Amino acid sequence: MLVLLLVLLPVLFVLLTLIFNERQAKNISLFGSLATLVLGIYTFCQFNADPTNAGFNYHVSWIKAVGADFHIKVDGINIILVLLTTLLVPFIIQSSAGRIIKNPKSFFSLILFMQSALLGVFLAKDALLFYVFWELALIPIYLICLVWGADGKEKITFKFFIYTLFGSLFMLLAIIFIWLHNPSMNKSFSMRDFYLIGAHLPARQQLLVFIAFYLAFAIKIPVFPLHTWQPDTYVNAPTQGTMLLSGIMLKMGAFALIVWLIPVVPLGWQLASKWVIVLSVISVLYGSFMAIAQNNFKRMLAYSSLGHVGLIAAGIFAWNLQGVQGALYQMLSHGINVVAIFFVADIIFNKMQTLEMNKLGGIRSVSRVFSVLFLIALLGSVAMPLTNGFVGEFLLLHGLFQYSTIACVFAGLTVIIGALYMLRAYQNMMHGETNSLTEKFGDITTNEKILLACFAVLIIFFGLFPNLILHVSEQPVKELIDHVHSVTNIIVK
Amino acid sequence: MKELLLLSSLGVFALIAEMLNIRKLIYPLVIIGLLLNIGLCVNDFGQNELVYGMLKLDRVALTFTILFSFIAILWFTFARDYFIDETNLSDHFALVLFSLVGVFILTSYTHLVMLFLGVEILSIPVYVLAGSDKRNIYSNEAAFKYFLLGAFASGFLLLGITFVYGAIGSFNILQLVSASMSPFGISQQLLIIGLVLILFAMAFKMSAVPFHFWAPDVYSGAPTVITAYMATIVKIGAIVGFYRLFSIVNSFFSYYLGILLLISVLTIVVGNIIAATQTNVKRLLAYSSIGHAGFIILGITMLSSATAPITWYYLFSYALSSIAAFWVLLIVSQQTDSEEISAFNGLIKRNPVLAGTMTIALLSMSGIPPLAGFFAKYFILINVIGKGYILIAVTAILASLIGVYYYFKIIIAMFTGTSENANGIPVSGFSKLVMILISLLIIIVGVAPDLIFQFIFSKN
Repeated sequence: MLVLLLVLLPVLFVLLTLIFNERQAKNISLFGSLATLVLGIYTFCQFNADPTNAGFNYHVSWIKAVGADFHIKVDGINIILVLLTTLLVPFIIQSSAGRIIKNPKSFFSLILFMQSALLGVFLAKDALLFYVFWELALIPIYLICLVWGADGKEKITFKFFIYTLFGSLFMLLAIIFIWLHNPSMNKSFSMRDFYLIGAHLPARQQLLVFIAFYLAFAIKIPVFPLHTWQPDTYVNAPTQGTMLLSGIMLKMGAFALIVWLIPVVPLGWQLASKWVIVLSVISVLYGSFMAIAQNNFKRMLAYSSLGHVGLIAAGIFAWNLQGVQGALYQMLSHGINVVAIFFVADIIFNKMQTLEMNKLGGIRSVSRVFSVLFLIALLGSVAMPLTNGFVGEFLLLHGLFQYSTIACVFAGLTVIIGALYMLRAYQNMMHGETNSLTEKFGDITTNEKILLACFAVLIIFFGLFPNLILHVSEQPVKELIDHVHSVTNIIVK
Repeated sequence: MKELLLLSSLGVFALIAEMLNIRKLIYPLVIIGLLLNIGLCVNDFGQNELVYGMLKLDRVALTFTILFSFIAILWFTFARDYFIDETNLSDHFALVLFSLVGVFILTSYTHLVMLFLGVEILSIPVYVLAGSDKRNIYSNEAAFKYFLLGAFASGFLLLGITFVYGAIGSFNILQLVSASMSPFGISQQLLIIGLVLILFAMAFKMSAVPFHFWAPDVYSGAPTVITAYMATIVKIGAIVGFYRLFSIVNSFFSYYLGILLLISVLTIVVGNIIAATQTNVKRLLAYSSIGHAGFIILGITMLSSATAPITWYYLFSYALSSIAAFWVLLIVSQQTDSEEISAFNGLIKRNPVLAGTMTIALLSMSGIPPLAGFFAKYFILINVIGKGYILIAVTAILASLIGVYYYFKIIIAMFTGTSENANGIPVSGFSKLVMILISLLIIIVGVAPDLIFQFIFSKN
């Protein structure tokens, strides 16, 4: 029941937000998201204590005709992402304080509805249910970007929508294909059965299914060359939309790689791993180099995000304990860091009406607190030791190194290039002389200070105590890795 | 038999009501009559009544009769608003009720002459209704085009039936089974040709490619209420009529598989691609209905024991969304005197209920989970892939993606378009209620498709 409550609580607050009037919308939705956060932390602690509690599993029959069940379950891997989602949404909602949002009721209820759909994606243990939640998560973010986005939003958001849907449809084909190849009379969509069926398919078919699934997830993450929707969408979306997209939604794709792609078609992974790692590393380098070339801070962050998630994808495909653990941890860290930095961008844009870095400068002298907190978030993104970003990137690079030294070397360049563009951005915007524009910066509001301070605390906390999270997922990750290796007969050194 | 009598007498009553000047009673009595019809069908489950040896009220007949009766109830509610000023409300209702008799015959026939009779009884009132907006030249054109081409198709139908009779010596479609075992060569060829001609005629009625050319002009010329009728109930009749015959034929004549696959794939592709180019919403919905018909034909081609429930489910979700979409279109086009997509600009501000209903209907038609339209398409795709036609499934999926494009053109206009006329659009409370009910039904049927399958199909 606990797990059902996790998915339904945001929906309850969607209804509450819609009932009351516009002025209360933000407060009600904030309260709802905080309640869900409490529930999420409670679930995490309970899971730590006793993973076999029945409250973590909810399984009822849904469509008997095709063998689809409504099956959601908390396990060591998705609890991390549940924690990420429940952690970030209150920040996302509160980041809108002091900003004018038209139609706040619809806006905040869409955010909460999306939270519910995202939790459903992570918790689903049934392929059809997973697909339904995956598609369902697309609708609110589409509406958020469409109605509250910047100019030119119709074309850009539509491109985003069609692109993602295109990938999802191929995932649907793959799901149906595996469902049909169930040798028993009772067809089912359950994850367990998919692992069993997929493992017994001939290698060629596994490769085809791999490609179909990969298409969907690669578009979502995104990975080069299916990334072209990302920079425009990030820049044009409202800040909260960008935070939802980069903080949580793209983790859907990475999560699906770990749980719905590789264990389902291990031979497909074995055949394709070289190529997808190459694509991921290209993505890392492409994102990083493009970030250097940007003058618009938000656009630079979009490309930087592309680079970071390329590394996550590469680490996952290396498929060893460090790689996958690193990917899970980096999902958590990157989520926190990227939301923090987009919040910084939002603060700057709110005051300066521009994010062109050559037009800004010297903000440090105007707002000391802001510059310190900005720097901490930035260092987390750059993966400086003591921050959460360091733990994630180190584990990822370690995992990638075990797979291929060359790949690791190229991917490791992201650390250096990342430092380059981030620190240069910081230098351009914060250091130096104030000009006529930035003189009027003023200090940041208390709300902004508190939020940024919370982010800073989280960044350092997760940098100092990674094992809190890592030990929860260690066992399930080991089981998945062993499952795949047993099918592909790889001897783990 | 009871259902037949009930529907016919409802039609006669509607005519008489005009003479006796009790027009106000027509709508309530028609609704009660249709509800009674549903009740009779539920009651008749399992009895397999044979009416004069020509109609068999088996499971398919009764479930689809329940379907079209329910959709007809929704249609009459929708049409009542439109006809409120018309003096010939009863004439229109009578024609529609008689046409419903035709649909009933098409869901339950076993005699080929009944097939012809059903098609004619279904179509002739619709020919008249399509032209009912006498002052509009497009309406006249629609009626004329539909009548001419429809009569031509009926000629093919009759010729096909004659050939089949010549081949097997009987009008009873159940005897086609034994006919396939017949060693007489000439009869075999005649039978095949006859069935192909019937197929072409039914494809015309279902607006399948390449027999669809009448559909866009007729749909956009006819009054919107009648277009809604054509897009939902006439399609149900044609499709079920086609299904009854070809479910028997398909199981042992592999010749038709190729033709049917070709027709269905062409229909899906052509319907969706041309719809993407439309800016007139009525024409867009017409082409999209062609696309949906293609999906259903594809589902029927993949014949299996699950075909009847899947077809029912698809027709149900499609008809619900269609009625909702045409209803909103009618109100918006009456308000703004335009049927273009731009008429929907900013509808979310002018009337949220209308915009919400339209959004849910369009999302369902484009196949977005967890709405009914997604599962409908999905069940058909399972069958297609299960039989091994992966390329066809991919084509159908890509065509649906194109569908998303044009449905979203309307949704985007509703949410972000700006219109000069920023006044709210008045809609009666009763209409709003029914629209919200339809939207809820689409969502519920989508979230729990098992309700339909267990509820309707567990009765046998």
